[in-house]
Amino acid sequence: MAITPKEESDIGISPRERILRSMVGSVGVRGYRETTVSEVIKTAGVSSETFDGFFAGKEDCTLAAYDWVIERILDRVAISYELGAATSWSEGVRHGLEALLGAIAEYPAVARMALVEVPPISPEAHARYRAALERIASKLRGGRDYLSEDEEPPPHVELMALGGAEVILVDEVSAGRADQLPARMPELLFAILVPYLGPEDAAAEMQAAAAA
Amino acid sequence: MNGMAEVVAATGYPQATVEEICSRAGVSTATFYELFRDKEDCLAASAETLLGEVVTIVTGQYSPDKAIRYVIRDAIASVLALMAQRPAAAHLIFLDGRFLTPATQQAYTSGVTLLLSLLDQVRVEADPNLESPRSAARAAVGAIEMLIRNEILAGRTEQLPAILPEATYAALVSFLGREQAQAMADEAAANPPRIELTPFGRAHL
Repeated sequence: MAITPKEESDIGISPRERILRSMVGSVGVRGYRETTVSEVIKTAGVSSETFDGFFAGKEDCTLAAYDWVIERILDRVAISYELGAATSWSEGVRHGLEALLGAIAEYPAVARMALVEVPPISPEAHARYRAALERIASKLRGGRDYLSEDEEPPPHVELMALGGAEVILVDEVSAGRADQLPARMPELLFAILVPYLGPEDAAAEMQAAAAA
Repeated sequence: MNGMAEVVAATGYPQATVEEICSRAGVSTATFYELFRDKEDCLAASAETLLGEVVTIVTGQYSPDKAIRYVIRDAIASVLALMAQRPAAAHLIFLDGRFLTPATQQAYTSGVTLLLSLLDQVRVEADPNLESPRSAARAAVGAIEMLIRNEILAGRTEQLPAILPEATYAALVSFLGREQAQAMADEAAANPPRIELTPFGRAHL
């Protein structure tokens, strides 16, 4: 089991993590279809025995890499959300959204992998994608407290909020415009807030975010 | 093409083989290759056929004496009714279409554009002081897509018409406000529109 670090920065990183990084890079840049396990292990500097010790194959490894990436991105988003939510729910959403858009712009290949390449590979991949969305939806639930008791929001209001923003993220990342997403934060904030607050209040939040 | 949609829903497109598609469709591989070059060609044909059916049923809801908000509601209802009858096609359109190949992406974009053009018309009915961003219509369609995907992934494709009230709210809230969008949703729940599917509905994809 020969493990040769490819770069200085690889020293001290476990073989499993090196494989996951290499898989994320390959799927994000070349796409899932063009990705081969032999290229992935070559970039990771591990043997095929090492790969087989961790993963059942390309799909299994891709899903593990997906979980690994989502965990890191959602942690980043959750921390920003909590910091903003100390002020108000909409501030939390704005901070979380900023963190997400920043991560997408900084790592467009990772965004491409997570948003575009992985979901359609299998029913299991769709299920993982849905689980990731569920985690974000749980943060959005705080928005219900904004409404008075007689304003019962629709039962799936979190999905509406997520869907409005998600579709713009997917459209833009697919079109290779991940770097332009941070500039679109205010309108994405509108998309998330509008099913809870209605268009007047969501537009006010959007304008405040644009001015900030 | 029905076999194609079923295999994609069951295993995912990358794992789909021509043999499996044919075995689901009950045809020989020889027949398959008479009709299609390869699995990508078959997928493209499926996407195009489905788009055609969606366009037909959606445009059929238009009528000059119907307010545009009702045209939108009925357009959504018609898509939900069609998808409930064809779970594999629903999976292909709403889960995989936007990702798979240039042909499926094209079909997906055309379908979305159709709904966007209806939402742009409801803007005219909206309060002119309302400053919804230009992307609000795209976001509204995205919200509906997410509601539909959620039902499909939960295995409730056949009950899709039940989400009409929420989907109507999601379509209209950015333009008409919460109160009017909720009123439209309540009306859709109390008195859902009748959607006539074409007679060949079940036989096709």
